[in-house]
Amino acid sequence: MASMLRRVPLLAVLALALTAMAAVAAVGGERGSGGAWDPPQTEETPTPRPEPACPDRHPDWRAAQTVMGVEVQADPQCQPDNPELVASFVKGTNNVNQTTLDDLALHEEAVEKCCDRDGDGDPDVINITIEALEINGFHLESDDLASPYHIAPGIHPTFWTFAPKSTIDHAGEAFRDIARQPSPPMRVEVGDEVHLTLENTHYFPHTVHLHGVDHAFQDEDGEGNDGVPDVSEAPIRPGEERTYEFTPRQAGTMFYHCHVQPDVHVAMGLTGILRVEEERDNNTVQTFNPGAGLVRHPAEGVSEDHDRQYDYHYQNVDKQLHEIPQQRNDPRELAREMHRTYDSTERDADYFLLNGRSFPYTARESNIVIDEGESALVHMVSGGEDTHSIHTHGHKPTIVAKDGVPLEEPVQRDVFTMTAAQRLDIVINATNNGLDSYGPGTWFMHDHREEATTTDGINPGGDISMVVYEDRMNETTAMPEHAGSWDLLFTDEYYEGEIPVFADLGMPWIHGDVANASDEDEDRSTLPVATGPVVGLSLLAAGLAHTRTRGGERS
Amino acid sequence: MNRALLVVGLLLAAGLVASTSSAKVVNENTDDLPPGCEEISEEVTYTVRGGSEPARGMDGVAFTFDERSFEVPACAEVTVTFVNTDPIRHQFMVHGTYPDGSTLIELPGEGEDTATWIAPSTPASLMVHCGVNQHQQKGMKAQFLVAGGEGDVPNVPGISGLPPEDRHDAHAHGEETADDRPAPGPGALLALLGAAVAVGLRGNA
Ligand SMILES: [Cu+2]
Ligand SMILES: [Cu+2]
Repeated sequence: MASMLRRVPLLAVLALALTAMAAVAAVGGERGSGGAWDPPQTEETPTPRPEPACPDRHPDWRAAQTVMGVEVQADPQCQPDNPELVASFVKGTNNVNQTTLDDLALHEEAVEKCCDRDGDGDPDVINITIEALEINGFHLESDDLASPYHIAPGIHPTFWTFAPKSTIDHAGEAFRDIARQPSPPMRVEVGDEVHLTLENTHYFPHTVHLHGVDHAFQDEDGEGNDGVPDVSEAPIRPGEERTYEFTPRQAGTMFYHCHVQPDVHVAMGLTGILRVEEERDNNTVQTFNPGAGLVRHPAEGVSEDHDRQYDYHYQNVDKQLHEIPQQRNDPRELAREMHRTYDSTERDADYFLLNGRSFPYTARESNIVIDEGESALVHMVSGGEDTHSIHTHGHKPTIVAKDGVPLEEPVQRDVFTMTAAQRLDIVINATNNGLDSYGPGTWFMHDHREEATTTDGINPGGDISMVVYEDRMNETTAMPEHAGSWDLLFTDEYYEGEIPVFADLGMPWIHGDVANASDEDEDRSTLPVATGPVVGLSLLAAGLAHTRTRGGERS
Repeated sequence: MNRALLVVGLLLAAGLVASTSSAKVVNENTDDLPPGCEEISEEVTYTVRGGSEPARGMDGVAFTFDERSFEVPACAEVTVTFVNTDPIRHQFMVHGTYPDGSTLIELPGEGEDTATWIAPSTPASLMVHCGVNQHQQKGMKAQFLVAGGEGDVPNVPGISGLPPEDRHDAHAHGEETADDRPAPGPGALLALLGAAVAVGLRGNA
């Protein structure tokens, strides 16, 4: 908020006046006539109607299956990736028929694969086309967002995202599976000749910087290839495109992001994992993993040693920044408000995302499902600018690589610290030996910076997920088995702070009448509460009078 | 190396290089007469350019069409050639066409394509937009006024409300007007102080 003080406009003064008056009205109103005070009735607590914990959109997507000749691993969670989408990203969209592409809202240029140059059974020339676009943006004719992308019940901040090149979505559902947060993890193989084209459909300039990915500073034509505006190249303007070229020699978990005004563009969501997989025979990788999470067609080099491969992208969101594009439409005003008025040195995160959602939505799609004795390789990144301290209950996983470089001596820990843009590869070994694992369960996995387990200060929320043993995945509900009820968490009211704090544990009113408690508290503070606004208002009146005089002189 | 594979690879590579982005035309109608139309009254054709290039020089507009208001007679057969000026995706989508409710030309990059539809028999204002995220909001909106129409479609740049005329923002032009952005006089600061005191007292309570 402090950034608003840069230019103290009339609006801010008016807002303060309104706040002060509202405070007086609230205090006055509650005290009523003659000081009598009626405590609010318990009935005033809203009766929330929970949305289904699992909307059960496509139960048939969960099973292991072979689609268009591509093996797609099982994902028993509520909202797995569409197997046809996974298969299309493995085969290459140039090798998928038009009807399927239309159903998936994918353009045929999203991932073109060809040319087994070394004869090892997989394509070696990969053309990837991504678009930069806005989701949950301004809507002209109403306050409703056209197709809101919710990170938690009732919460839909604006994001900018990279997404595979799309086409018109006839059914109105498929586009939401590919244009979401985070920007999708991308996979290539060591030695692939990759042409990554950014088509900028957004109204601000953007670039792609290949962080940690082996790439030349300039391409063969001498064009900038590092994505840093005005150092390696000019930014890509709205309506323009640019192709970045790289043939990576080193495998590892890397990163990609926009480098234009990065204090805002990275925060807005233009960041993703870029995983360079080790070279193997017949290693046709899943180029995009939309929404991150389980890689349903894991790379050959990973399958040798592990049963499952996961992408885990952490983000922090300052709602003050992410609300601006819903309040204004003129790109000039947006540029001013987002890059000048908004001060990123005052940033204070309100939302914490794992794979583009906050708990309880993470429980639908971003658990680490594992079976006893199995091994899971998890690629984690801090995609925003927070430092995370990720704790895995019930396990001490092993860090095998940092920033895409294998550790000579892997370290076993139960808290994983990642600073901004840092990547960790961790191995969760589900061997019940009292060290690697304490045995089957629905084990919490969360950021030990405890604010990150909230959504705008309401717990539980934020970047919570779980390590769930397969027999604890409920086949009927497609959600992890858990004690107590999660119903109240699946309501807008919970995250608006309207549900009493312990009600979600099935213990409403454990200390008696909740409604009475809060008002007792305010009663004791009557004097200072009333005095503050009165003093403020008197000074405000003087201030307004003075401002008006000045305004008159100027016109 | 397997020679056959190499040949296949080279052929595929050639295919990739040669492949041009395919346009999409959805819900064309050249012969199904809308209710109330006895026959095609007239054949009208337009060529419309859309993208970032037509938006250059327009304040507060990122993408637009070079022509944004079209007047056509009732029951006219309307043929639009849409030219995408950009190497990115754009659409020319007319809403309210018979019989499917909309007619679309989508171009994945630079190029052009053509679609035909038939205007209704009674006055109507048909909205045209590009459905790519934020494109209509940032200027890609137009209208067909059939038989005089029923008033302007809202938020069509230069016609009904978007910049430059109606959303003109003084600040962005480096001007400041008195009622727009008053200088922070001592009065305002005093008021802020008052509010701060209020907040402080509340906090101590
Ligand atoms: Cu950017
Ligand atoms: Cu467009």
